[in-house]
Amino acid sequence: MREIQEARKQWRAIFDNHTERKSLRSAVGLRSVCWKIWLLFPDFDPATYERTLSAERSAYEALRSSFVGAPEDTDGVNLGGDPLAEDEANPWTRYRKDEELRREIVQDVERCMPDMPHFRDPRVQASLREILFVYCKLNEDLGYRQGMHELVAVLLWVLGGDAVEEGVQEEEEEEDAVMKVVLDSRYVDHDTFSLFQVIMRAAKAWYELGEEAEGRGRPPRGRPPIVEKSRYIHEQLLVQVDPELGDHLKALDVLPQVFLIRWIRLLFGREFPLPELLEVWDTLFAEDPDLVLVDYICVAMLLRIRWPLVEADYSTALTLVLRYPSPPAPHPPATFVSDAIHLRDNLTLAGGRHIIMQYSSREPAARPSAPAVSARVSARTKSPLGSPTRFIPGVQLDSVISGVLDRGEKWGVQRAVGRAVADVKKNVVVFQQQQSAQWAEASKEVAREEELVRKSRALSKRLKHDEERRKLLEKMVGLSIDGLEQESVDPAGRKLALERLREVRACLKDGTRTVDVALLETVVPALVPLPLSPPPPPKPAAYKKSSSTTVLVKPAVALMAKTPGSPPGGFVGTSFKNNSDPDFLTHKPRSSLAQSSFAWMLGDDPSTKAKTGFVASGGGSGGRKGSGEVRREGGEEGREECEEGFDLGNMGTKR
Amino acid sequence: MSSQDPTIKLLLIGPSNSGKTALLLRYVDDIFDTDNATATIGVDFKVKKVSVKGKPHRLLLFDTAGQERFRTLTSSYYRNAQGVILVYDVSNRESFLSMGHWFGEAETYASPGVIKCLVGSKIDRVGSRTVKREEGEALAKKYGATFYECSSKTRQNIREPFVTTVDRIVDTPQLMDPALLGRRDGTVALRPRTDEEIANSGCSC
Repeated sequence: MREIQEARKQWRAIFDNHTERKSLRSAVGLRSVCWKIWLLFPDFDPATYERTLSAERSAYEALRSSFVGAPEDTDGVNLGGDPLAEDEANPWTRYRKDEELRREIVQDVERCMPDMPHFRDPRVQASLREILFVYCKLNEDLGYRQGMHELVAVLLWVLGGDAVEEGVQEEEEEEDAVMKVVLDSRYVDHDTFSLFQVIMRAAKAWYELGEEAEGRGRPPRGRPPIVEKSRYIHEQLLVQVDPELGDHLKALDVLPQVFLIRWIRLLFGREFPLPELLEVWDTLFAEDPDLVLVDYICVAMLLRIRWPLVEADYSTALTLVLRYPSPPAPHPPATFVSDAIHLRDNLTLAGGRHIIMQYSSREPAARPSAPAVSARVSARTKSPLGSPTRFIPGVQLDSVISGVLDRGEKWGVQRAVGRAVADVKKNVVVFQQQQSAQWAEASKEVAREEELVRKSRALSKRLKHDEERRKLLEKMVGLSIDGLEQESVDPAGRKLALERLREVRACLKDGTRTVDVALLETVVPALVPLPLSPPPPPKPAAYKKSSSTTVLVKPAVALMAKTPGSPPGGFVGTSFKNNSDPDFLTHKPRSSLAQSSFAWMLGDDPSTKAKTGFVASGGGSGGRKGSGEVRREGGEEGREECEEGFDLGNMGTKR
Repeated sequence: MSSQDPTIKLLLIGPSNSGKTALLLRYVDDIFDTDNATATIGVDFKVKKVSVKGKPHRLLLFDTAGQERFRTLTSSYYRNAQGVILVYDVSNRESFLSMGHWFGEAETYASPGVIKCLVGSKIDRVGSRTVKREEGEALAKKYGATFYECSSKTRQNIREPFVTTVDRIVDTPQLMDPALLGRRDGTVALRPRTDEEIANSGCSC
């Protein structure tokens, strides 16, 4: 409890020097007010405090009278119903559960902060019990978990210490009004509850049992979040900044959860003496009210004792982390928070080295490169893509590309090729989904995590490579289509197109095969023999009738517009009804792929920049609107539309 | 103490507030301080050097939190434990009634053949005793555990549970397997097989 004059002085220390939350980086003046500013008040302006507090306080008041008031009123009173009925709705069942909860809480409140006489005061213990009971009733899924009581105790200590008695009337200054509301001693419990709730927003998960029920002998279904978090800190964070220490702890079999449970659940409450702990909380709340920084504080604490740790055997290491040595004077525990901020922003070997050397002026040894890594690298260089069948079912691709050739005439090559391309895309998506599934799996099975991360990186690289390869293949398929798309395809043009398609098939069959880029560049069909496959199946009438050899590539639209007996309105009514390009019917003939509907495949179109999204989303984001071409959209819908309007078979009948 | 000394790992389990930490503090540091008793969060750990049959050993003592009974954590505590000391409070009948569960846990997670010892604590609370000595003895017998009643406050029977358990461990060769002990220190000690083992593993033809 503070005297009003002193409180006023301390209050001014905050508000005379700060006008916004951002500038308030450490506790000045009244710590409880700083904590409320960091954790509770949405706005820095003191004029807004009263509104927040009155809402919070009346909420706690209501909760307390409903949870705490009721059972005591009914103590020994007839609750009605059958006291022995094992039924959730039975008030007796609830009553017994509440009694059990109370017993658990009382047991820990009575031995809470044993070295502080303040917490032996029955009124203080009553406050602790009530706050914990109300929280646990509100969070019945969690119930009471040991450790919560010490978080509440610290808050209660700080808020109670700053409180001022109401009704001290003297020369009333204007600012006193807000200050007296904020520090009102009648509401210490209420405000403690509010701050505890804010902390528990992040901390609740640390107390949860997760999927794992308390019952013994049941099959395990998932690790409790605190165990996951501990492993994450060890295997994802620590290992990145100090692999030697991470590996050493692993080799010793010092499981991170064994010590991190206490560090984290109590927000380091048992690791440092109270005055230093409060400074840790100050910096932590100021920097990160969501308490994500806690993970990095753990890493910073491990780095501070890394030299004794890396030389320690099992029992010495456990003793170090479970009886954390008090950091020497010039670097009080609050420095762990600034270390943590540095590590959060520099989660690298260099970041770790910086922190280690800051306190020891000894440099950790560079990590010897594991021979396994080079083995992996050489394996990758030998077969840069690896076997695509590992993530793309080979049978499927094979049949897809055979379909291109076999169904070409029956269906129209474009449709089949469109499907082939779509299937390739789908496979990429499937692969990506598999990859993300692997990531999800990795977070569950952290033991396998490191290996999976490596694999995923390799797969990502492979994916990138595959993406480039896919582009080439798409381009080649596109050229083939452009060739075959002609009303009258000359034999050489068809040969080239088929050769290109065969190359695509060969490339899809054999993931290690390098795409023959020369085939892409051939404009004039070279008279090379086609030794690869048996001759293609019989051509449809549309092909046989074709005789023109004058133009290798003709604009499809212009071609159609010229087609006798096919009124433009028909197209507009079907596939072109949404075409916003007013010039699409009078489009200039194009002469190269760059101007074709597959120009985007060349990658020089700005719209191709959206292709990463295209692949990632698995659907379409063509962005090639208004090109005036038949194939206006890259998505599934656009493709459907294309098929409607650009079926070679239909064209044949139209002629 | 040398880190080369063989280590023995003991685990203290039992319901919250049954006196596990007090028992350990009294045994290791000869401290009894009710004013400083507080709930154990997660696990605590102490090392004590002991002499077993004239040979120095390091006793690693894990003091677990009574409330922390989830599988993942529990199983990590049990890893390589050779002995388990189960503690209940003779003045708290409920804590005694829960011991069946605690024996079950020990059997689930500890390695087979682990040495068990049942301890009824707080016998200085004469007036409030609710568990008879005979009940404790019968339960211990049922689970093949040794049994003691003790008081951390008066020091009565404090060493016995530890000494007996350690003696039984070193008398059980399978629990003192150097390979097992080595693994606990982070290395796998590969020891040459003894002639007897080679003889036993040989084929009969």
